Amino acid sequence: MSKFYTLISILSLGVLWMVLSASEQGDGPAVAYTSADIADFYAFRGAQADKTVFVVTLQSPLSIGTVTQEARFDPNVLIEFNIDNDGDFKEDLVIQAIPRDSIMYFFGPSTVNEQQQGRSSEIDVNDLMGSVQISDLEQTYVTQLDSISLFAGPRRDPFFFDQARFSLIQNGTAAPEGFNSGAEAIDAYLQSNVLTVALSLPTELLGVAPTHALNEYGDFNLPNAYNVWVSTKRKY
Amino acid sequence: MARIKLGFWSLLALMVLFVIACEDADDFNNVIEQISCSDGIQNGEETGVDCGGPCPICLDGLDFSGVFIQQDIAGRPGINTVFNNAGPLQDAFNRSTVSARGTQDFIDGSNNLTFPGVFHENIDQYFVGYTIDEMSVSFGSNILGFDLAGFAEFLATTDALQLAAEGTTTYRNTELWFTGRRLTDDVMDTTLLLLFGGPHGDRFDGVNGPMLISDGVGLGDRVFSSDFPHLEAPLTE
Repeated sequence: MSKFYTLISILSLGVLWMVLSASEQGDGPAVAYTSADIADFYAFRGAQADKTVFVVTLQSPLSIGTVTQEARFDPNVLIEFNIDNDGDFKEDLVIQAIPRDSIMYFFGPSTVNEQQQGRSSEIDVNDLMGSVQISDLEQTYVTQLDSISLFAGPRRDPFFFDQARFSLIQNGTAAPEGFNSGAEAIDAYLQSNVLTVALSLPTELLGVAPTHALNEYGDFNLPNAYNVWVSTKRKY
Repeated sequence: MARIKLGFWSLLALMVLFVIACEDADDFNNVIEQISCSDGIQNGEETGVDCGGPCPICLDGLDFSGVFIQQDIAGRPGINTVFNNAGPLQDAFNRSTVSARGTQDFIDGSNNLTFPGVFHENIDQYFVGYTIDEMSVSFGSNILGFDLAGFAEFLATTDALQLAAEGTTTYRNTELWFTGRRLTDDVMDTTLLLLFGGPHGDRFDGVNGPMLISDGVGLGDRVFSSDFPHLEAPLTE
């Protein structure tokens, strides 16, 4: 009998591993499934032409129900939006978000000097931008300041990808056939949620944009563009 | 006697009225001037010392001190998924800074193994076993004009979302490349196009070889609002 249960346990773990592997977005094992795991990053013009919206999704995938309900931002994990406005791919400005109890606090845009650039960060509380109550499954809270909007909480995952088929192509198994189409193509993220931090702010707060990075590589004639990325940083 | 009393009470009443009038005038003039968000006392509509109400929110008792160390980083979508598929190398990528990826060895520290080199090798591997008209195929060049080494270098060392200060923001449309990333952009198809599509974007399109430039999925039934925060409420069933 005990052998039977051992077998069941091993099989269950195997199934669990397959489910996790299939739905992972392929991030490193050290950060995958932790509260610091970034899933996706978006940056786009807001409803108004002079506004920019930043969105980061974290802790993907959160399955519907208890897992989403119990997902929490980590008070030891700083979420940092980085803006390079002189074209050297080092952050000149950062906007930081970190939770305390049921509130997400936002700081910045804070100027980053040369000594402060890189893998470690601190928070300058004098740069407080605002705060928003963290939303939950029932209620959506948005803080609307004069020209800035803030949000933090669970949302439906906006990312779509046939992750499982891609994995087969990547390891060579599906080499001759390629991707599926129609009903056979399966979006791994269609029925899942993510934790999200979003803010909208006047684009002019990001400074003057440098030459578009791709223009350096050919005759692309693309408009001036900031280089922006997001990072998570943990306090030990 | 009665006249004296009347005089006394009248004088007292006048004095009280005078004091009230003075106090009113005093309050009116000074209260407006004195309340500020940096006077070191709780006054006006503040809910704490120099915070709350019209002043910045109160951070009393909250600790934001300490040094925070990088755990994860994301610029363009799918980079670690598509171009860096070994676990330890993904961990190293997540700890790396964009500007140093072309020169600094985040992986071993002694091998001088940098991410343009890692990406180069990964891209090469995708073409093992693929043929078109029974001819083996390599990366060659892509629709942006990059050869393999140039593409690997570009991916690793400029890995950010380029965000146009004005105009349309999109990962790709018929006229633009990399001016932002909207929620609706099919970024993985763009990534696959750059990887497999060849110089004209029509290689491995399902006719010219197997379909590798689109994963076949789109937004599905997702609907995004034009209002902040734009994303859909979480699914509950």
